Amino acid sequence: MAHGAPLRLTTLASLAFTLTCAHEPVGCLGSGDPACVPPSPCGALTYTCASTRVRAYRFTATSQRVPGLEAEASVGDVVLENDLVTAVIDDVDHPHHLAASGGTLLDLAPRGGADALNAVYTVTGILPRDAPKYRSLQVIEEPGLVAVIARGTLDGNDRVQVTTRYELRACDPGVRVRTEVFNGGRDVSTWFLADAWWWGDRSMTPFIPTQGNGFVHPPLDLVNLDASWRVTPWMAAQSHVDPAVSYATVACGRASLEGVQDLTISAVGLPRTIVRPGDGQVFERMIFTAAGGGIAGAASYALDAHARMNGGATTVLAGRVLGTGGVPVGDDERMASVVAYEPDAAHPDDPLRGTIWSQAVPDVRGQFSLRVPSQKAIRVQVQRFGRATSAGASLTPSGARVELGDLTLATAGTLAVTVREGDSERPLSAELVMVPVEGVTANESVSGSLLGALGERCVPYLGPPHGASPACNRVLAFDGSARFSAPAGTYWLYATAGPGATLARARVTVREGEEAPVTLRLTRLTGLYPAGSLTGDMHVHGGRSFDSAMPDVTRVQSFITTGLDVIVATDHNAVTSYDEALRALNAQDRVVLVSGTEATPLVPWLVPPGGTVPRVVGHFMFWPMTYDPTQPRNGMPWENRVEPGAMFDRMRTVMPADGVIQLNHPTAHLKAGRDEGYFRMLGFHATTPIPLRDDGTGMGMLWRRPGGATGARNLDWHVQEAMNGAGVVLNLGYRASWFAMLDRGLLRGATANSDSHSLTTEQVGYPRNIVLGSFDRARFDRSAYDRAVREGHVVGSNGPVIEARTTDAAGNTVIPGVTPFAPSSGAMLDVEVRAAPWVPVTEVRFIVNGRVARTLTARDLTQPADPFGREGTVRWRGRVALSELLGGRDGWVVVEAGLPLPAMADLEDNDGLPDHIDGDGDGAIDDTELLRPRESDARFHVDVVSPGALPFAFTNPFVVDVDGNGWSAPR
Amino acid sequence: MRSLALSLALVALPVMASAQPCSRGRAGVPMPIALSSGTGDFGTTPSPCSDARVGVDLRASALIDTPDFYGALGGELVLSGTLPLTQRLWLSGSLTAPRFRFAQNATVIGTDLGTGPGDLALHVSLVRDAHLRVSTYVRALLPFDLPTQYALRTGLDAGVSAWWTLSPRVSLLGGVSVPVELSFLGGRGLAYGSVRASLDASVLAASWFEPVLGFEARVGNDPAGALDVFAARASLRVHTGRAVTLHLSGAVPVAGLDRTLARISLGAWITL
Repeated sequence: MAHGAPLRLTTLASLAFTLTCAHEPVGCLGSGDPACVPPSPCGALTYTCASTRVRAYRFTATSQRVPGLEAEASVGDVVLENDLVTAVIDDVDHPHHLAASGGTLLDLAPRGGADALNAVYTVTGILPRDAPKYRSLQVIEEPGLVAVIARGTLDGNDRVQVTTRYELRACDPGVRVRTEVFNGGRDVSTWFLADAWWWGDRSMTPFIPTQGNGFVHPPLDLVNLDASWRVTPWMAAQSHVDPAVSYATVACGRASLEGVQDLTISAVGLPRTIVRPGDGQVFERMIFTAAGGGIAGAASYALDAHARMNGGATTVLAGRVLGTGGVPVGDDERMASVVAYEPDAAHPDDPLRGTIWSQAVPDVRGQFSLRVPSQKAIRVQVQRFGRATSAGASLTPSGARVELGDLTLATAGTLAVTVREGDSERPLSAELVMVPVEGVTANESVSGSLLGALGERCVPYLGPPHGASPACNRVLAFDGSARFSAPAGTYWLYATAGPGATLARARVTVREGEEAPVTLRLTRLTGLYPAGSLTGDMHVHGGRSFDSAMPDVTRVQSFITTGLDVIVATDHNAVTSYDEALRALNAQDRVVLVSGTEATPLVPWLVPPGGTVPRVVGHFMFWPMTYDPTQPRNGMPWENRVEPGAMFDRMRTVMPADGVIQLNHPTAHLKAGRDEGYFRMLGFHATTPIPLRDDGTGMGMLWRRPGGATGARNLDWHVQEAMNGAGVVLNLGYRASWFAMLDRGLLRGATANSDSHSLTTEQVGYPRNIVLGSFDRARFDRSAYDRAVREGHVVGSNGPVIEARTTDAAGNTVIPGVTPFAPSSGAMLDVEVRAAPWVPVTEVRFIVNGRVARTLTARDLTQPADPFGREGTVRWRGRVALSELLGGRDGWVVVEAGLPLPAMADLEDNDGLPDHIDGDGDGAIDDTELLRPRESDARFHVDVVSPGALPFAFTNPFVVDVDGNGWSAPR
Repeated sequence: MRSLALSLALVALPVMASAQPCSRGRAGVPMPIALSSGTGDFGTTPSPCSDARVGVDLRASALIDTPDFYGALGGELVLSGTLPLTQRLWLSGSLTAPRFRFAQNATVIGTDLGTGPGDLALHVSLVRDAHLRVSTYVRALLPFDLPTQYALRTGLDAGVSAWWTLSPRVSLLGGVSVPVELSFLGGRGLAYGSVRASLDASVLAASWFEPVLGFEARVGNDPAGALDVFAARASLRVHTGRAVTLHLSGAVPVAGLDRTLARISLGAWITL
């Protein structure tokens, strides 16, 4: 079938229209006029109020941004606003996240609330080519409404035209959206015309009111969509940080939406439909938002709208949650969350078996309201700490509103914790971690979740794992104090101020209705870190990342409680500043914050040699960058569809010449189909030498110059991560890839960063970089610090400290770094290993050219008697001849210290990198992580503080030019 | 099937009595290979012979473009027939029902079961002699597509078909036409036009067995390129001797924009 020219045959067209059976009017699908304006969507829904105010305008100043960590509007974006909501459509040249262009719903906030939305954008399938690329925005203002018309085509097919109308009326509690897609191509296509809600992970939690689901969804499998596919009357989502907000969407003109749900992304829309050339589809829906905790606010709009359009009645259930003595319980998802569900007959007490209709967090007065379908058997249950309580009601509601009265809870037990500095008794900022005492309180009795989601192995469950403190089983005692409630039970309560201080622990019993005071004491260990060094974490996320919801204040508090000197703020695809939070905490002199960014491409486009599927190039870090909220992504250039070399050139336009480019987690896996590790995308194999030219292989792509102002090569980063977070299996892979680079003479420094996204997902400062030099934090020299990082004067560590030095032929002291040197005659490598008493160190390894040349075991090292004391920080001191290690040939030497590496094996993909370890010490290499040991194990305390971590530290290399005639790489 | 055929024969008997058949005895009526990138019989070369007949075909197509993460399968049942009106004038038509479609875009899969468009043609004989038959025709595409979202599809095809007997056993069947498919959605229309030609060579290897080889070419106005398709095609026919011919036919695009891997057809026609 050949593609032809458009015709205008109105008479036949009218006949054609009357013979079709569409749900919605044809609109601009039936017009060849490129300026056609689609009709107003969702005509069956009308909202009334006293206000007539509605306006549209272009964003011009950051003061116009709505509150919220995800508010990303920048100059040129279009704002639609009434007295209830504010919506932002990004300008076509401001692409965000997975979208090919602007024209997406970027911000949406209720009046009095905040924006917690990363983005909502239209799709017709799952590939990047199935998303629209909008080329123009038209703003329309009419009496009582404003609208933005986005026009374009599919990114992968410019014969498929896409037009989306976003409309806001004066009394609408959300945005009306109509998308028209016309197949002007030559092939029959299957479309899934839908909205993709980019949650990102650890942010919003999606919800659908279908039996057995609610907040729980099958794992998203993009290869087998049917396994994840659900049909639902509407969809909602809630945030978990203040100010809380909810979102919901309902289709107009049809009774259901279809699609998939996941904490990373949801997609809901029309059924998968074959659309032949010359035909099209229309999708109308309304997107609501409401302030307040839980999904109840927005879900109420959705359920009401659904009933009005499709028939059926709804009832609002209202009530109040009180504690003992009539004290209102509310304004805290942890302390009270009210769920309304239609019970399953066989399991009436379990909401997860029935159909959950709504869930609310009572307000500060303890009051809540939930909308449910009328004339259905409904149970109302109050949850606390993610578990059911006895408070609740059962009813079959009818009428517009039913008053449930007061639902009474027993008062929760409380801990009032004080942390003091051991000698001075001054308050000391610390992080508190609770774990049940083994054999006294069963994990199952104090675990919890959000109706089956977000449990994250939080035991006890003090609150949602990724928001403000308390989160999961962790609490920040900023400035030395914290008062919080916990489930009844007996716990170990730990206090930690990072691996540069001692560890404190107390056994506490929480009883309902009682408050227990606890005082813990910590001491900062002077002399642990080398003189003049600064500790830094150069990979940290906060709420501005699409996969974090951590409030700024909580994030900054966590920096300080872990004892770090320098933080590089590195949110995904945005530059961040924590200035406001620092000022609010009066903490400007307690930590140095540098703004940077983690370029995180999300649009697959590059097919590596031998591959068939488009990929992204992994993640790269850039700092320092200037925070400019007037610009898209706060000043970060767009990160998609470029190879790393071109990305470096792009970022360099907004970075100083002495900044740092870091390759992150080089061998990390994919997430949501997007590569997180550049080396893995290229097909790195640990036993195959990295090629030294572009030989047509995947790894050969390192040598490409993909174009840019400076012609940077793809391997022109300064440093790369050899440790990222706690995951032992992945860290072994990063280590191996770094060794492979050194072996080939590709000398890059290594760093060790936490990649922390919340209090729960990777703890900030575990690991951290000990940057060597003569620094003064009070007079921080960013340029000198970054120069030291680029030159590899870094020790990476999640606890142990290694101080190593030698001398060169001129008699100068040489510290770890990537610059080759000729050693002095008979040069010795002087090493001292130190650690806080609670960090076990039983092995020191000397790595020469990637192989362990010498090992010191526990009998060679000193072990402290008391892990909670302050004595015994020096574990080994000694010296080794460089000639003994290198055997007279050029090479490189790295010193490692910590616990022995676990037994490991490459069982899955034969890439030479371990994918399994013996994580539980049973002798079987069948684990993918290090599991929590018994309380009697020396690693137990470290595992409480940083779950899954293996105590480990490494120096950057000593690159030894043995005879001083130029260094030769070992392989 | 036989009863239907007889009923049609009774109705058309006065006309048939005065028609000039192309019958080749047991081999029946010469028929071009009825496979094209269109749907049903629209866009195929019709027989230049006016003999009354009915046919049924089961047709399938497959497009698998793995690098593009796209695939499409189709299956349809096509009922066709020819009805002489006068010595030189006859009607032909087809209905496509049911029609099954499968289309896959990466892992997004859609299927539907419905009906395809029909067609109705008027033929006029131009040349009738012992070794050459030429006719011209105008064919309309009938908008019976279901399911559809909004659009209606119709069209017009005008052309010439011919049958040239080179020897008692060898003959050529060919045609040229200009099919134009029109899709209307509201006030918007799309026209898909092309010029197509086909040529088939048949050999009566035996009175009951007739292999056919041929090709089809289409040139259209697709912005991506002029050559819509150049396809090689073949057919094996078994003439049962009771005015029934069974056939298995196939077409494989070898050049052009058409990404279809192959089209096949299994069917029968009965000369009345």
